[in-house]
Amino acid sequence: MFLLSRAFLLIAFLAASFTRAEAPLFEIGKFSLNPAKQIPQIQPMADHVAGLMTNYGYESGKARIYNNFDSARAALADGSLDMLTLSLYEAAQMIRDGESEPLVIKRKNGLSEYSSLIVVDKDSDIYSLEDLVGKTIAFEDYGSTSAYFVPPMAIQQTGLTVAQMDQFQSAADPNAVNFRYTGAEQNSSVLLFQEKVDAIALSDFDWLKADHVPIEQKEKFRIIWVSDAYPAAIEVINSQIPSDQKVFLRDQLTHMHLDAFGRFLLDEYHESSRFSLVTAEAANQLQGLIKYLEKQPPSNLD
Amino acid sequence: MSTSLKTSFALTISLVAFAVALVLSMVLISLSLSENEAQAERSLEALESSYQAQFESSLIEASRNLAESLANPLYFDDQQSITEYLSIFASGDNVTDAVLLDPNGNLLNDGSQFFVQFGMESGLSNDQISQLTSGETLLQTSTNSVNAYHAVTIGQELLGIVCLTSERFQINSAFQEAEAGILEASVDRRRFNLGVAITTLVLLMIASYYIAGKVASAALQPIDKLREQAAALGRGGGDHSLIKIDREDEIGDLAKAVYSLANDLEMQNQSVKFLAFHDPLTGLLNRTGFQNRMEESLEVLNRDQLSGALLFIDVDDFKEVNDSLGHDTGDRAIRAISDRLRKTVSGLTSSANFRHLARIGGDEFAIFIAPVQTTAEISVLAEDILSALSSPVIVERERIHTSASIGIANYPEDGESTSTLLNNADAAMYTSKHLGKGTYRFYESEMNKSLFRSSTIKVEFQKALRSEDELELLFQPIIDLASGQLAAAEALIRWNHPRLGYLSPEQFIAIVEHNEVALPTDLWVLNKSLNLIEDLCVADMQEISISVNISASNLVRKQFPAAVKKLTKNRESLVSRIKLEITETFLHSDDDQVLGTMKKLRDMGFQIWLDDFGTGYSSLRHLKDFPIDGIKIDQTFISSIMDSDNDRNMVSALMALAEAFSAEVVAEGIDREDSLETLRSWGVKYGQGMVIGEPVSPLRLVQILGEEKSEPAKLVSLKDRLKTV
Repeated sequence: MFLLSRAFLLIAFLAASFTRAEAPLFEIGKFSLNPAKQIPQIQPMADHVAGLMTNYGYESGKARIYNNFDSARAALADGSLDMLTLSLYEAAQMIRDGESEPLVIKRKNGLSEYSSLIVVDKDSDIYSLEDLVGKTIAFEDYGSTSAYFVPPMAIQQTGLTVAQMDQFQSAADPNAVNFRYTGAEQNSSVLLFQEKVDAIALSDFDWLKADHVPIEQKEKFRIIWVSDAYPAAIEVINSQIPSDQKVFLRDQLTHMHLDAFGRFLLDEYHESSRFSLVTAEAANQLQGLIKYLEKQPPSNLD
Repeated sequence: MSTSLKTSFALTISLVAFAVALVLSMVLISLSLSENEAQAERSLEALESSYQAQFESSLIEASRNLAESLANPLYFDDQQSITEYLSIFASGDNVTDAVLLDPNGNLLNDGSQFFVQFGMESGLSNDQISQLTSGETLLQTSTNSVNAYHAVTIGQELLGIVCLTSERFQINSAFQEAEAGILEASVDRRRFNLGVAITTLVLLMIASYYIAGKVASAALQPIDKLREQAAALGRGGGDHSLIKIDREDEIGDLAKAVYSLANDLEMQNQSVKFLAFHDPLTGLLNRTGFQNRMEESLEVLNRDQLSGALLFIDVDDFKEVNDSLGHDTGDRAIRAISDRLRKTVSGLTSSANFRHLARIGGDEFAIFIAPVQTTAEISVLAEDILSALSSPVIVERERIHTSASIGIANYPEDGESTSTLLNNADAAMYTSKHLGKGTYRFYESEMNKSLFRSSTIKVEFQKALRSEDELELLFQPIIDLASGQLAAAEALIRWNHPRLGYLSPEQFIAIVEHNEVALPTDLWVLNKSLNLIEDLCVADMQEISISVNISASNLVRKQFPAAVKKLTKNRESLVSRIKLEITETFLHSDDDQVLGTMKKLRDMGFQIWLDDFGTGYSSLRHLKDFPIDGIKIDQTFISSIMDSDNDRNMVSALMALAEAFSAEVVAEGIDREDSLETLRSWGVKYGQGMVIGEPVSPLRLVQILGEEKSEPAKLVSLKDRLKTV
């Protein structure tokens, strides 16, 4: 009965939001190539936040999908984009530009943080990151925080050099850690299982999933490195929004999980469980990433 | 039950079933054809509708897919991807064109590289666009094409509208192709249905004939069984173990009737079988049955080297019982005799296992007993039988004195076959009978000769009677002793057998007298005598009498008087000149039949004479009881009157006796002149004998009478004349 009444309120809320389509919008954005999938997940949260912010002139919410950093930066710059839901890597990219700042950490059900792992064949002679020099390592893709962003960062922070290979058949640089994108965690584990690479990088979340790394593969693998835990996702807000609104919004969002309707909206919003304040540790991790990025060449998203 | 009936029954049923099936099949085929056509039409309609629906459904589905595919490219305004998607969908099945409209319904991308129709209005109304925004697919149909519109949305935002177009000819050609297939399938189905119907009909006819045959067999099986049983009964075969048919219907009634018939036939068969081997009067074996038993017994005796004896028993003078008391009484007497024989045989103290008693003739019985150790054992049985039959048999208060003559043939000495034993025992029996009744004789080889002669004579004499060429009637003169004139003549039969030669009366008269030949013989003699008298009358000759000997057996034959009367019809006036001579010894004073016959004959006008008078034991009583016209004193007395006083006294006494009863006297057997003279001196009326005259032929007798007519006969001259013949 409770759920039905909430559902009714949601429908009424959504209906009301349509009527204010031309009114000032509170826009939540996300990087994706599939707006058809993302918009239905983000739109309710956008409407809800707009509702919360009516006192500040917002009348409706809007989900906006971006396929590159530049368009997002432009939207932040012209004030049309109010908030972005991003991975830690994406957040580092956007915050580095100064157009936005962290607002809250978005925690997912069962996984609020995760770590990156580097896995090798258990019979190999690789036991540390240093042992990877002259070896080959497979990363998922360049957008993946855990499978691309964190591990090379750690390798470089160790003082080692990474070098991208065009093909696995290409000769490896004996003085660098040689990497290649595989597109998916499954591809990486299969390559390691077939001993076509010397190591792979993946998140502890994927390591625990049997459909990503089957048990018979795990029995042959060995973990040589685990990163620190870091937030799975982070919400950033347009730096142009006044501070009181930021405070009001942060307060509303961090308390959202305390009632059923808020939890319902959180679940719709990328199966999230709650929003929490950005801890000092997370802030430090973010700053570390930003610094690392500043040393890196522009990525394809740029 | 004949096969044709069963077949016709089965055919009738199967034809009826076939006719019904044919009608039903025709109706069903007709209905099926019409239904097939209707179904084809419905199928076509349904197919058309289905094609339309399927086509529209696929078009709608394609429009949805296209809208879904275009959502992301349109969101990012990726016209190149949009163009590629439109091009791909435009080349899909049943789609001739794919375009993208903006949210206002104006053409945004026509799938071409140059957007030649960009900005063209689609003609969609705002209401239709609102309808599309709610997620529905809009179909616009025209004569030649169908358009499917679907909104491209993300969330609630209308990004654009896709439009897929399909030309109707594609539907129509597909439908026509399918229609042709359906019509072809319909024709095929009709052919198939027709084939199935015809096949079913044929199978049904075969099945119905088969089933009808089975039903007919089952239904007619009881009748068939009854037919077979009746046929078996009709053939006289079958084991009569009839299969019971318990039914409460007509077949049941028929079965009961057949059972009843079978039972009757069985009883009749048993009766016939019994009669075939048994004598119905006594229940004893008949000749055939006796022979069968004998064959079985002789086989055993032959195998085991044992002896046996066959006793041939002939009841003495039983013919007279039948003739005098009637056959009913005779039959009862035979039954009584057979009972006595049965008791005697069964009561015999002997180790003989085979004891066959049979009635093999009217008054003939046979007993076979075996094994036997001694002839004494057989003699005991024969004497027991004679003893058992010695006491009178009482039938309806009549005391019938019985005796039997028994002939015995021993196995294997007197014969090894049944027929031989029977013949030899028969011969022994005849010998016994001739030598003295009421006794028994064992067979001896000589017996057969006499038996052969007597049986031959009997048969041959019957032939002679029919041919009349062999028999001759002679007449021995009887003269008036006082005058010496011919007064009468005794008719004497003579027989000239073509092979046996001339037979004397002694050789056949006794045989003839004691069997059935006696009747025709006496009638033949009587007829010849009457003819002679008649001839004499016609010739106006001297009136003489003719003596005719009558067999004693004829006197007890009821039909004899009637036969005589018939013979004398229209000649009654001549009868008084016939003297019927009856041998005294054959008479029985208590024989009413004989007495009655004699009276009837006398009433007809015949004279009754007693022949061989004096040899009987009760001559006086005969004169008293019987109507006698005269006597002939037996020649045994006459021939010795010159030598024996007793005979002379006897003749005198007999003459006195005859005189006392007013009977005339003939002295027969006068063979001496002195006897003739003596008798004449004594006053004997008539004389007959060799000294007077031997038997002569009728012609000669006529001649003699003619001579006497012209010249009064003298005794001597007569004799001389006769001698000269």
